[in-house]
Amino acid sequence: MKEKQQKITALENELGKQQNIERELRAVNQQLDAANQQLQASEQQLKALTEQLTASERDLIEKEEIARFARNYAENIIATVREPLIVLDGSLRVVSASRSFYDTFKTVPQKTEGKLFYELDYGQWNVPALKMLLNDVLPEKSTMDNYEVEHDFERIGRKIMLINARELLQERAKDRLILLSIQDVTERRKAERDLQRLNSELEAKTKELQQILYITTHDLRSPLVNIQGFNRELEASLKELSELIKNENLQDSTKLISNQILDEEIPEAMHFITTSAGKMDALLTGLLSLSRLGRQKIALSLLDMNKLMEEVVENYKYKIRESQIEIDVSDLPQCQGDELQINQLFSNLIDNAMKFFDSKRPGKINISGEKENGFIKYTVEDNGIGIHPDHQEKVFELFHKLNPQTSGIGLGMSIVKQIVEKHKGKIILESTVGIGTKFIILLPKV
Amino acid sequence: MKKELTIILAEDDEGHATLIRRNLKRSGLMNKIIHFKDGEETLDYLFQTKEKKDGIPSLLLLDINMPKIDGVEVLRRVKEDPDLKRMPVIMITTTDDPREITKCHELGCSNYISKPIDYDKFVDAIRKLGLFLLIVEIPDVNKPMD
Repeated sequence: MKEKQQKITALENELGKQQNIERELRAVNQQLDAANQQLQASEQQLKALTEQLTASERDLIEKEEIARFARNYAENIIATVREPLIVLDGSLRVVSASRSFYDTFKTVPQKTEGKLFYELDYGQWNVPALKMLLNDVLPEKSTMDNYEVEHDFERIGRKIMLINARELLQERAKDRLILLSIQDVTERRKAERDLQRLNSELEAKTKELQQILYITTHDLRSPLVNIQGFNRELEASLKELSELIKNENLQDSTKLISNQILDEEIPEAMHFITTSAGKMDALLTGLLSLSRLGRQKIALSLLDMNKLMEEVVENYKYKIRESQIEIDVSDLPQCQGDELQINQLFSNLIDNAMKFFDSKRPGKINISGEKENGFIKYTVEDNGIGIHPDHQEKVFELFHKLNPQTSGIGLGMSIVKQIVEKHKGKIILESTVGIGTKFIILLPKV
Repeated sequence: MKKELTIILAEDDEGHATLIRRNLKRSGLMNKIIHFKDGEETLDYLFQTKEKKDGIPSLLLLDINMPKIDGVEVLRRVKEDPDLKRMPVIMITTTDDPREITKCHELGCSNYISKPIDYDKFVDAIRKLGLFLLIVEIPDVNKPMD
């Protein structure tokens, strides 16, 4: 029994031990579970971190790409721009320079980069005015536009350089950067000066010519007054003399001769003097008005062209009725012009049209106008005989007469052209023989 | 215009002067006409008569284009002088430049006649001037102003 009891106790002990172990095991198991959970959480954190890291990396690559592109872009621009460019730091030391800088000033990067700007090429940029601008003006205004330096450059001689400068703002770096563009404008300035000189020479010459034209035409009129005047005086004297001689008792033969002289030869000579002086007078009057047009300054004002054209046409009322001409004027836009000159311009065009109507059909003149592409356009169109292509260029020439039989001295169209040019406009001629002629006048928009 | 009054003709062209004189005479104007060939002579004479108190001429017929001193300048000096400025001045010239005409009017010329090249018109203009001078009362320049 005792033995049995002992066995039971032993078994109970064993059981107790086993129960203990089982408890411990459970505890361990619980610990393990907790650890496992921690591990899982950490793993998740790790995964999230990795993801963040990848994203950052991608970002970085992207930004790097953008930066590379921007740099590339800027470098390409600098390389492409034909103007020499140079970048300086705050102490005016060269950071970099463009290819055209090296080309223009015949130097190399080794002698340029990192060097002080004023010490480059034996101090060729050490120009006091430029120094003042870079040191004082630029920091204050951060830009400097179109500053011209005329200077003897080391390797390229005397040149005029146009300098533009910008301060580049750098947010993080404290040091400032300066971008300088240096353009060689020597040739351009020279050409400009030449042009200016030639222009003023031309102006002076034109003025001189106009003066000569004016003086000669004007001075030629005075003797002409005498030629005509005394010719008339002679005429009167001749008449008196004839009366006297006719009353004298002369021999028949003498009478015959004196009659021939007094009634035929002298009057004939006088007739030629009169008509020639008249022709000269017409030419001089025309030339005078042309020279006056050239000397006159135009007085621009806004013109009511409907009113102006009415006045122009009114002047031709008699001729229009007499020759049974039809003039049709449509609504005309306003323009900026010298009232008297524009009046003369259209008067001359109508005058011209009237000289060249076709006798086979009733004359017709159409005047119209419209606004077109920055111009005011007026058209004067007739149904006259037209102008042969060979003659069209000559129409505006001085003293050119298409038909020697017509009246006038061949000045009207020269005056038209001069008026149009004085108004900075254009005149175009379109004509077909047998159909008619069209003059198109383009004046600058109001 | 009284016969005793003198007319000064300043005209550098002898021919023109002759034609003007003949035609003024034909229109019936019998006044004495003194002719000068340039602006300087004209001014010298005018200022001398003024000093000598022997009577400022009654009328000045003045051409513009003259050697030495031109007509516009003569007009200006005449109109600047307190005594001479009362003398009527008629411009007779070949110029048809409107600005020149305006200038003369601004300086105080009494009238302006363009010498037309056309002789009939020229004669007509001068004769009309003569007729005008015949009937017009020209104030006595030498009388003190009222």
